[in-house]
Amino acid sequence: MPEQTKRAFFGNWIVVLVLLGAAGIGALTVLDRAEARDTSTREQAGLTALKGTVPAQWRIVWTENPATEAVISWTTADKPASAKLHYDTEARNGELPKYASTAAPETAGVYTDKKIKLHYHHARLTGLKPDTVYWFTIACDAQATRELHFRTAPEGDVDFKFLYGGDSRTNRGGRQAMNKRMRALLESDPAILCLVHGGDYVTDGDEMEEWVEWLSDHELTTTAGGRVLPVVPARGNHEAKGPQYDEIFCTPGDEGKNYYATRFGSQFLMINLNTEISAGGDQAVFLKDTLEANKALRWQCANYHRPAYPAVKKPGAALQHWVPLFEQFNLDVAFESDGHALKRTCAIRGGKPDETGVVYIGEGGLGVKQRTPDAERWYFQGGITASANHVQKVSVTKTEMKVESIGEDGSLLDTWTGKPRKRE
Amino acid sequence: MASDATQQGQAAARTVLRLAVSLTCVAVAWQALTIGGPVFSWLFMNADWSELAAVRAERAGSFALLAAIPFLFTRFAKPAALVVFAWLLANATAQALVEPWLPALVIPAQAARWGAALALVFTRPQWLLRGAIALTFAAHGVEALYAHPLFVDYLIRGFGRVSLELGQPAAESMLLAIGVIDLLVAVLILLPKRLLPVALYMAAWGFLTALARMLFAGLEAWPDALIRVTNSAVPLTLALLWVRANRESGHA
Ligand SMILES: [Fe+2]
Repeated sequence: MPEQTKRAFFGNWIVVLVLLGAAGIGALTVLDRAEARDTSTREQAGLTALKGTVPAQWRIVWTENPATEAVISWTTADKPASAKLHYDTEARNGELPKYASTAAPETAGVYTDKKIKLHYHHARLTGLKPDTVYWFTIACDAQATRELHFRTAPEGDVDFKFLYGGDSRTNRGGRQAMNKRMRALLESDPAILCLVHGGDYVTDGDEMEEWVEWLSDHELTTTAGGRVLPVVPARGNHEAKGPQYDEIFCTPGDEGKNYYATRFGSQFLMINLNTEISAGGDQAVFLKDTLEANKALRWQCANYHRPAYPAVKKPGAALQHWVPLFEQFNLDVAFESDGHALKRTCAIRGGKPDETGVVYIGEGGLGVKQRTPDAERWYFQGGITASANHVQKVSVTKTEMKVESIGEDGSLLDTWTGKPRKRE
Repeated sequence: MASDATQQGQAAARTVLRLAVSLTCVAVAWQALTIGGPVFSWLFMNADWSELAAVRAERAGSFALLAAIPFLFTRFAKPAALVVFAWLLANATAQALVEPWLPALVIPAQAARWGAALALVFTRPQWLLRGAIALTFAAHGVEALYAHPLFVDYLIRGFGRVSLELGQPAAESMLLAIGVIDLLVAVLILLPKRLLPVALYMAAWGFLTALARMLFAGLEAWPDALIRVTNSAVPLTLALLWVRANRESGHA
C-alpha cells in the first residue's frame, strides 16, 4: 500500500473508532442512569416473597383446551426436595390430605439467566371438568400457598367473558395499577375466564430480573378470595427469541413456534399467533388450516403482538400474510398490541373501510407508558384511538360479542358490539 | 491525462455519495417526523423522557438532517456531513439500545449509512467505504444465517408474487446461502486488490434488498427502501473509484 493511502486508511479508522467510542460511552452513561432510577421505584409490598422453597409467583397457563386442561406454574428461590400441587373441585381450606388429587410438576428447572438463579415448576392438569371451579394449594417441602382457585372454560354453547391486554413492560407502577384493575374486574364479574395477553410482558425478555418483577406483580391479579386469572399468552418483540418466555409459560404452542388456537366453549376460537417468527411460512399454513377447520364456528378471533393496522408505528408482516386469510374466513376481531395506545379500527376489507370486514382492537395498555397515536389514519374513521392505559373486557353470547375498553381507573373508554356473521 | 481520469472518477464517486447521503437524510427524517424513530423510542421508553421532549429532540435532529442536505453540495460539505454522520450514528445507537433481537448487529448493519456520511468528511475515503460496506454485508449475512423472520417473509412473498410457492424450509435454505455469500463478499471487499466485480455485485444486491422492502409492503414502504440507498451507493462509489483507477493503471 502506498504511504499516503496507508495514512488515509489509518486516519479514517482512528476517527471512526473515537466517534463510536464517544457515542457508546455517552449512551451507556445515560442508560445506566435510567436503570438506576427504575430500581429505586421497585416495590414488593404485599407480594409473596421469593425465599427458600416458598412457592411464589403462581400462574395458570391456558393453551388449546382450557375446558379440560391447565398448566399451573410457580417459582421457588431454592430447589425444593418435594413439590406438589393438591387440587379438588371442593374447597379444602389448604388441608393437604383432604384434596382428592395431586400432581407433581411435569417439568421443572432453572430459569435461564446469568445473574439470578430461580426455579420454575409446571404442573399440567388434564381431564378436568369443564366450567368447574378447581381449588388448589401448591406445596413445596413444608411450605404451601394459601388455597387458590380457578374456573375451567365452558365446553358447550354458553355465554362467557375474557380480558384482553398487552404491553405490561417498562413501567412497573402502571403495570401494578392495571393488574389491580384486572383483579377488580374479576372480583366484580366472575364470568371473566382469563386474560389473553398480546405480548411484551417486560422490556428485556432475556433478563430474569425483569421477569421476576412481572411474575410477582401478576399476583396482584389474584382476587382477595383467591381466584387466579389464567393467562393465554402470545410472544411479543420484547420477549424476542429468549428461552425465558417458554420457561415461564411452559412453552405455549410448540417450541420455536409458540402459536396455537384456544377454544372457549363450542362456538368461539382464539388463534394466538407469533409475530416474532416468519408470518408467511409454516405459521400462515397453520392459520389457514385452523380457519378452514373451524370455519363453521360462530366467533373467530386472533391475538398477536405486532399490528397489521397500527395506531402508532408501521404495520408488521401480519398485514401481508395474515390479513388476506382473516378476510377470506371472515374473522370477527383481531386483537393487536405493541403500539402503546388504545385503538379500535373501523371494519376493514381489502385495505378499505367495509362493514363486512375485520375489526382490529387493542394496541397494548397493560401499564406501559402510552404514546400519542396517529388519529388521522384512515382506519380510525368510524373507530377510535387514544393515549390511555386500558384492558379490554370481551363478553360473548349467542347473539353478540361486546368489547369494552376499560381504563386504569375503571372508566369505560370505548364499546364495540359485533353480531354473528353468516357462516356455512 | 491518466490522473485526470482518476480525478473524474473521484468527482463522480463523490457526487454519487452526496446524492445517496441526501436521500438517506430525507428517508430518516421522513420516518422520524411521521411514525417516530429510534431516538424517540429510546428517549421516551428507556431514558424516561416525556413524550413531548423526546419528540422535540428527534424533530431537532431530523430538521438538522434536512437542513444539511444543500450544504453537502457546497464548500461546507464537511461540517454538514459531520452533522449528518452524528445523527445517523445516534439513530443506529438508539436502535441498538431498543432492539430486543441481536442488538449487537444494528450499528454494523447500518455502517453503510453512517459510514457514507462520514466518508464525505475525508478526501480519500476508500478504505472507510470498504469497511462500512463490509460491516453492513457481514451483519446482514449473520442475520440471514439466523434466518431473520422478515427475510424469510420477503422471500416467500417475493416468490409468491411471481406465482411460485416457496415453503419456509426452502426459504431458510436460501437464506443460508445468501448469508454465506454476504459474509464472503464482506471479506473480499477488504482485500488490498480492488475487485471490481465484487463491488458491482454488492451494489446490485444492496439495491435489490432495499427494493425488497417495497416489493413486500407496497409503495408506501418507500422510506424503508430509500433509507437503505447507501447499501448500493457505497459499493457503487467504490466501483466508480476503481474503474477509473484500474483504467489508469491499464493505460500506464
Ligand atoms: Fe412491542
